[in-house]
Amino acid sequence: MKVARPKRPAWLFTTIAVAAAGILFFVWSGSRRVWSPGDAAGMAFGIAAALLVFVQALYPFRRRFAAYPFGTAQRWLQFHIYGGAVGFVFVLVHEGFRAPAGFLGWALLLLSAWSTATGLAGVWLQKWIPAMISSGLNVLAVFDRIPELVETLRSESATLAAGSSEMFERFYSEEIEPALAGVNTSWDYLLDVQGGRERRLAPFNRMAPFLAETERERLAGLRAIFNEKLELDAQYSLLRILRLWSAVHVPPAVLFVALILYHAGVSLYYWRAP
Amino acid sequence: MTSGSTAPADAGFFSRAFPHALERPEQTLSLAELAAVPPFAGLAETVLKKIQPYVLPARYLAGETILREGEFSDAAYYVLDGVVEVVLKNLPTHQQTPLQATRSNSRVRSLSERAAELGATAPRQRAIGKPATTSGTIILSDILHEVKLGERVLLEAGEIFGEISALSRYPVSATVQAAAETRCLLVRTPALRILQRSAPKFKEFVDQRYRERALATHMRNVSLFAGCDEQFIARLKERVELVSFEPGALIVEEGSPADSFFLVREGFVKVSARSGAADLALTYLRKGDYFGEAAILLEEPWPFSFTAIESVELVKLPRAAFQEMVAKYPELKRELWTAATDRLETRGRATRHPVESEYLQMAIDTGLIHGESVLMIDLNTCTGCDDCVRACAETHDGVPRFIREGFKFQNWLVPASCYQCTDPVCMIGCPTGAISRPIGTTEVSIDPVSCIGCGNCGRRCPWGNIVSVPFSHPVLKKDIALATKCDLCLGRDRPACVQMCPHGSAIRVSFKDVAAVERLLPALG
Amino acid sequence: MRRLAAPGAVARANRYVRPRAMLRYFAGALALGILLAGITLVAVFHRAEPLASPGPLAAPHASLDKTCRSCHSPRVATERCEQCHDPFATGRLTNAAHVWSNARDPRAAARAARLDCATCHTDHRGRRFAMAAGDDRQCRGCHFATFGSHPEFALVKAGLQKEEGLQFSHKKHLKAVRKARLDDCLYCHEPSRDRRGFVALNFEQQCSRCHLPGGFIGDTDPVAARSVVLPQDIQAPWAKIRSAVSKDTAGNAVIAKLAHKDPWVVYNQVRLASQVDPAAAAARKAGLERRLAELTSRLAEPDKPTVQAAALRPRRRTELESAIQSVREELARLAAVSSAPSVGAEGKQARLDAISAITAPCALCHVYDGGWMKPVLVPAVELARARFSHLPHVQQIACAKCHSQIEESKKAENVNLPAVALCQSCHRRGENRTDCAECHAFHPQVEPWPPI
Repeated sequence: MKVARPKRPAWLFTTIAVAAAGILFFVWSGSRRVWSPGDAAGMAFGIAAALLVFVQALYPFRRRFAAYPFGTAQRWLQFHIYGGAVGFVFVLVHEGFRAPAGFLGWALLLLSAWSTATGLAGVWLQKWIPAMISSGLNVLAVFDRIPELVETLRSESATLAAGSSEMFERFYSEEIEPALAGVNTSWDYLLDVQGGRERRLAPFNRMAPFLAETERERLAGLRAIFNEKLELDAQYSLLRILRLWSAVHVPPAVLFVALILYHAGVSLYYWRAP
Repeated sequence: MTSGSTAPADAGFFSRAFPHALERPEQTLSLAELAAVPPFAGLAETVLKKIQPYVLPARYLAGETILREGEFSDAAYYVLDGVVEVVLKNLPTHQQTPLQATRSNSRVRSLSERAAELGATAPRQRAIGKPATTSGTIILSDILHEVKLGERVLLEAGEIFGEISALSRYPVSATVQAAAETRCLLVRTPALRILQRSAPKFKEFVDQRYRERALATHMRNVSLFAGCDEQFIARLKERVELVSFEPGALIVEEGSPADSFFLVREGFVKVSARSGAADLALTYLRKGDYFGEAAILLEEPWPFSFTAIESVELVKLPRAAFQEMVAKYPELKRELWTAATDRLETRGRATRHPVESEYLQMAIDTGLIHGESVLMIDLNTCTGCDDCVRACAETHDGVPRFIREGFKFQNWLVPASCYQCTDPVCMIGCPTGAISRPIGTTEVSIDPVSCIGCGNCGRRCPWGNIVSVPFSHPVLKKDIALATKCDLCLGRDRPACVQMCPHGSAIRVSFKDVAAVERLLPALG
Repeated sequence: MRRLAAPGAVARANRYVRPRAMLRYFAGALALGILLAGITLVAVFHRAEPLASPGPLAAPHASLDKTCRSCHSPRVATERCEQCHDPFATGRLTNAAHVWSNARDPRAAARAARLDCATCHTDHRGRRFAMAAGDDRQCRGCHFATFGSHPEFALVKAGLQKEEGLQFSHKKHLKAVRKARLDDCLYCHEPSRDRRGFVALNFEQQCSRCHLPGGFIGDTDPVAARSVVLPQDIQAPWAKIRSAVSKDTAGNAVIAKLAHKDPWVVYNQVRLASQVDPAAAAARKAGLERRLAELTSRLAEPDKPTVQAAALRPRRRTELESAIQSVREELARLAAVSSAPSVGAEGKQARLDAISAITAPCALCHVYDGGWMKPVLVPAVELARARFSHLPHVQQIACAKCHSQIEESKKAENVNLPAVALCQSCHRRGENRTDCAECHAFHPQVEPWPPI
């Protein structure tokens, strides 16, 4: 399995360069004077971080703002990822790499760290899951349609099993039909997309010797349907993880943006010009 | 493939208004009537039976337009009586200057936007696409090339027109109107092909006309002959042979003695080489390409096999004529050598990396080679977010023009979305001309206002990429299933699916540039 | 295993589908986020000010935690700090005071930039944050960058202290102390109670250990008896304790067994000196009277109503009273001899000779000029702008390590301080402290601060 390396090293290098420049400025400036988030340099980093975060927050509206300033959704996403990382570094520089003292300070720092960390985890998931699906599964389906497709498979298999011998009927109704009832999700697929396939298909192998020659073909058909269902399960589980991920990343990020707005308002209100 | 299931809305109305739009076995001529028509005289009865369903009579009143310049036709017209006039309104493409219009300031308006304009008397403005130079599709004139801009040429009984357009699916290059009440015989493409194969006289007749009308232009459009003077081309014209091949026919076998040079007029030719037991696809040739130069230059047997992928029309230049040409224009030699060594290099690469060959074979097998802009999704990076489909829907009034399902090859998903074929068969038989490809552009688009939902195009598309979707029609005040297909987001900078893919997984591939395809797909996968 | 006709495809949708699931999940997450943000912001505005605070205030300010407006209005202003930290508006905490206390140059002080308290003292950094602690980086704006570039001490640069009014040789004393097998420096230099430094030396405590054999500093040289008033001729009570002095054949007398600050010697010295130069005596008297008046008025003025002032009141009162007492005594001595007639040049010389004869044992240490003894100026503070604690140093190194020239010092005026380079040899980066605050304070400690 191949998880794509950064395809655009220019973005990565620019990010590293900007972050390093910020930190170097902090070290240089910190050796000459006491770093304060409220003086000109500290404010500059704070404003830069806030602006970066606000642009990141526009990402969900990329289809509206596609033409400006990035042109393609891919560049939007690249900026969302790398800009977010730079934003986090700027937050750290802004507050001078110190442990914050108050509630608001901690909230902002932790939310910033959380948004960045979950964002990077999302990057990994978005590289890992497609690679897993593309390398491990043959069937490909649109997420929304999977429950509907599983239902189709169920009815197909019911048609296939109808009018078979009693033993086959029992095998079908006891071992196969319940598993075809709906989509079964599991987190295990994240690590092994083929996970448990052999075990789940084992009843078919067990059953085969007891069936008449004519029934075996029917069994093979059922096995193919069942295998397809397992693939759909895996695909649905993995794609659902990608979608659930947004629940981990988005709410804290929205809260972060709201608190930044509040923090900016309060800071400007109480701001003492250096 | 249920895409074409929508039945024509009103078959009777169509048959009256659009004589060649529908298959109408009940109106065919009897065998005796057919045999009485001069071009078909002396044909065997079996041949006549074969062509019978595809030959239809039609009547035109004076002033009625028979063929419209720029549109697509799937029939040749034989004038039984009456007079037609040929009017050239635009210059042939090779004489045109590129259109200055850009994509962003022209767009196909949506159904709702266009509703207000319905009934307006102004002639429909064609959406103007990318300049012809970027497409590179060679468009031949199928009307006498002596026709000057704005001049009228009259054709009388016994003349035939439109056959080149029908055979090669080029847009009709001039408008043909009935000058007086005229009776014509429509000879549809299948009949033309049957006649090409089984009626030597008819083939000779058609070939002769092709030679007279189009061959010179065709040759001049091939870069190889671009520098040759008129007299030479005229002389060459007399020596070439026009040959046709059925789909799958072997044109030349690797190792057989090389005796001619070929120019592809029509269809696709697969180039392959033997590697052990396997037959590796090296590349494919399309109209305008040529082959045979390597064998003749090297004075060796054919180094490759050439196979017809579809019905292929070739211009065959005998070895002696070719050598004469090379002798007369020594500067051609360099270009020929480059082409020859390129092809040999490809052979070497394909032998070393059979995977590239696999991709080519896939493209040939699945018909992707027709595509000028095929949407392909890299499954290694696609997260299934469906932003492409949503973006497509947002560009097209809420109805996407594809879904993320299709066929999968290696790590590539090819969604069922229009490939924008070089020869859009979907255009043939559109009764209203709603589906069109402006000259020199890539996108084939359907005008939602002119579309009447007959479903012809959907049935013709070999890949089922045209889908009828019910719309509530603002004028008819009822739901009507209209054909929809990818139009490359006419009016946008680039197709929304590609622009809105956050992972760069969706790409557009033109299978016209074989070398690029060979490089692109395996490398990205 | 592959069941379907088209490789990889499950089925072809019979019509276009607009995928919604991704949007549903995302919209759900977005809604949750907005809800969270809403709840938080409502909570924030509900208890608006404390949550806006970037952090708790330092412990001394803890009571102000919930009343932002005690400091902010909306910005922090220096005046707000001074309401508590400089209630009498002396300006002690201003940058001007800092410049003045060090440069002693009113013009420089007037030029000093205005600095807000919050420039250096930032709060909202937690209860235990030490707000008062300065940071060297704040000093660098005006001063040198590191202790390594500290300029030489002014005293060391000057080489000699100003006259002390004593003749004293450390060399000689050290020799004698060592000979007697006594504790070198500590025999005389006793650590102060706080162990930061040493008690000021005085005759009674230190010198008298050697210089008062048998309880007396010695005898006068033979002096012409007619030039002095002999003890038996003086009516004052202190004269009664001394037995009558007899003259020898030459009319000279020797007064024996003199005490330190012997009243008879002082009486005669003042009398003789006044006769030598009555104008100087008058000037001296006038000076003493001015001083008396000043001290009396300071004793009378009310104390500042601060706890600090109240605590210091008894000590201050005692100090003032003892100073008044000594000034009165001196005035009394002057008054006693004020009626002395003036004399000619010849008489002057005779009187000067007499002074040097009677002060012979005093002049071993004290310096006389024109008959008057020079005041003994014990240097109170060696380092004008810095604080220095001897304790940690004497615990770790010998005195001579720093005061290396002391063995050869023959004069009281010698500066026996080490050069700054010696400090720098131990106080270096990574070893001992090198920060400014180790020795210096930004704000002058003196109170009341003389307003500029």
